[in-house]
Amino acid sequence: MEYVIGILLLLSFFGLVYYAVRGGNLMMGIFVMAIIWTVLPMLGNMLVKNPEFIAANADTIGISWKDALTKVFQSGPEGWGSTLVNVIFGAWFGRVLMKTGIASTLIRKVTELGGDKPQITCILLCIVTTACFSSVFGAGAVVAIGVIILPIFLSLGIPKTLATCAFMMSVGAGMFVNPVLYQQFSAFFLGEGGERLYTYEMHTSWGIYALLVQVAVVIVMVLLLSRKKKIHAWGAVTPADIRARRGESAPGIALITPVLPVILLILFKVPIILGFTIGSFYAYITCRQIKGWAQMCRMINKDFFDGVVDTAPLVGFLLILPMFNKSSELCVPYFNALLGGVIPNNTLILSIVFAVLAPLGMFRGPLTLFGCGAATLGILKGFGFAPAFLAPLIIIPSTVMNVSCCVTQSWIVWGVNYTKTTTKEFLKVSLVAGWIVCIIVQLMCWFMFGRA
Amino acid sequence: MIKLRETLARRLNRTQEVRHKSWPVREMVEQLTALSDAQFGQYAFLHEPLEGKFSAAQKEQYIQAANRCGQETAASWEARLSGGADCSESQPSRLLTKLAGQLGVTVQDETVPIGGGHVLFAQFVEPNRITIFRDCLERLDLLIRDEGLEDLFEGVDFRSVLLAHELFHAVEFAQKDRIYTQTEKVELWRKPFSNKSRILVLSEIAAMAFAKALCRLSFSPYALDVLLMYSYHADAACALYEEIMAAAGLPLTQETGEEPC
Repeated sequence: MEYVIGILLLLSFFGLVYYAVRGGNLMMGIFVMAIIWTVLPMLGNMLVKNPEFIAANADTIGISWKDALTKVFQSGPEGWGSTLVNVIFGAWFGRVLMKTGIASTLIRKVTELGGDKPQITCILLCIVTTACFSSVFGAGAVVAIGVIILPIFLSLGIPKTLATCAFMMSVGAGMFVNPVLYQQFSAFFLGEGGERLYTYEMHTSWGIYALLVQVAVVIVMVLLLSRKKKIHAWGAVTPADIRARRGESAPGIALITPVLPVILLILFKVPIILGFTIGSFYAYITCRQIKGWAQMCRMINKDFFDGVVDTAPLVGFLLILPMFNKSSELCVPYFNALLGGVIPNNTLILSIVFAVLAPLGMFRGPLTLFGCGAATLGILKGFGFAPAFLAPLIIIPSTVMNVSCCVTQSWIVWGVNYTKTTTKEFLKVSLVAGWIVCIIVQLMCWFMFGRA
Repeated sequence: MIKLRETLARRLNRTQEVRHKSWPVREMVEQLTALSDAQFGQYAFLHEPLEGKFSAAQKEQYIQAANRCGQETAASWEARLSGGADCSESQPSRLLTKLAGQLGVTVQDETVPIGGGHVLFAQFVEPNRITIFRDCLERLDLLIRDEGLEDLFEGVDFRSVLLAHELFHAVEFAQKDRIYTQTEKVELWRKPFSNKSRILVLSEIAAMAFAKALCRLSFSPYALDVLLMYSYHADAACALYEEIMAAAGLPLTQETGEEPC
């Protein structure tokens, strides 16, 4: 019976992959999967007869319907609450960077350094983008910075596919140390008492190198692909984009703001929400945005409101996803029974498999935590790998293939649409570049955490 | 996947949209076609990545020089292609076909829609390929018919305007070591370091002047930015119109007595 349930679970998993690739609504798809992955293992628990299987998985199989439903549909989204709060503060901080003109000034200064040299300017802007997204999170911030940077790339004659890919991968590179994204990942690695088994220090110990690898790959990509034919295009840009590009001018002292929360967190262990708050007030003060108490209250209210609106499209998805994550825990015994003999339990082989199969992190596939990877992680957890090894193993394809390269990522959808790149053209570049990053970083992480 | 792309893109764009007043198309066209090349040059500078480095006086000088470059280049190619004979009566499209042939440029028309936040009309891919996006031209034809603007654009071949603009970039590519728009540079770094950069917008201003001269237009082709955008996004086109008028020193405020419809 455990094999039958395992096969049904696997079939439903492939069903979700197919559904995601066809462009179905992911939030609803994941919700339906949470229901299937709750009902199937619970039915299996009632029907299994194999005493060895029951003894090996007594805790999971013994769970009552009431506890299972509470675990999946109540505790799951509730447990994600703290992550959501961080996401909202990150989005607020992003809004402050836009409003004070810090982002546009930074971009303008960098453009004025590089001038008409497409490669130099493009590389400098990619580095600035990475720096910004080491703290800032949210589709709103990506769009707000994208409408400034992408037209500059295009006006410099950078091919549109390269422009989109370089920008999106630079955003993704910053995400390797982004505390808001870390919060989302760390929620997958909680102990029995809810304590974090995967700390931010553990995350940055390899994340900073992963960031550098991804930036290096972006630089190589820009150097190689921008040598191709230069393009001069006649087109019109909406004035809102031009205004965003011009923006207000921020003083030099304010330009360190984008990395301030991360620096405070890494060097002084300042909690990230406090870091965002300090960063925001630093920006308001250095940019002389505060003119009185009442005006300041109105301004912060407005920026916070805009930040919350920016996160709105993600909220539903972020709250349904933990249902799916929790339901995958109920399935672990059945996946173990079916795939236990197939999945390698040697760290080197596992790292190589994850490097080779990295593209499965696209389209919400089995190697991304923002898709079916929650189930893969559930299975791997059953083998008893240490979080220090397991977390990077799955976070690498999630950050690179999904967040940086996949056309199911909300802001990448926007970027591809904005520059009129076709999905196929974008994927041809992003898949190769992302795959290279995954291979390098997986091997690096094996050397760092897998050899013990 | 396309459905998902469109839905997400729409949702993200919605958060970026800014509501603008809507202006009657005829009024916009009349105002825009009355603007001078110098006024459109100010609008063009809004797109210049190095815009912040220049004073108003410098911008004016650059605009004048770029317009002159476009006009002189058009005159010299016209003379060259006609073998010295007066060709002011010859059709622009024939002249442009000759020019494309002379430069070894292949011209292709694409029918794929190119609308969205960043609308493309035409492009020149170095060294020798020009693409005209026909979708915007077809929409423009419809718009002119629907709005009854035929009298304002009598005899204008919009495809030729787009082609002429892109052909200027081909000319620039062929003469990059001696044409003003490629040789004029500005120092970006402080001594002892040096990084001299071209001013990208000069190419665009000159290309517009070149197209205007070769297609014998009475208005700057920059006016088409608004019209071509209008077929995709009326609201954005009205905002663009306001932006151009403001850059030209004619902001559309209550004082001008102009009221949006």
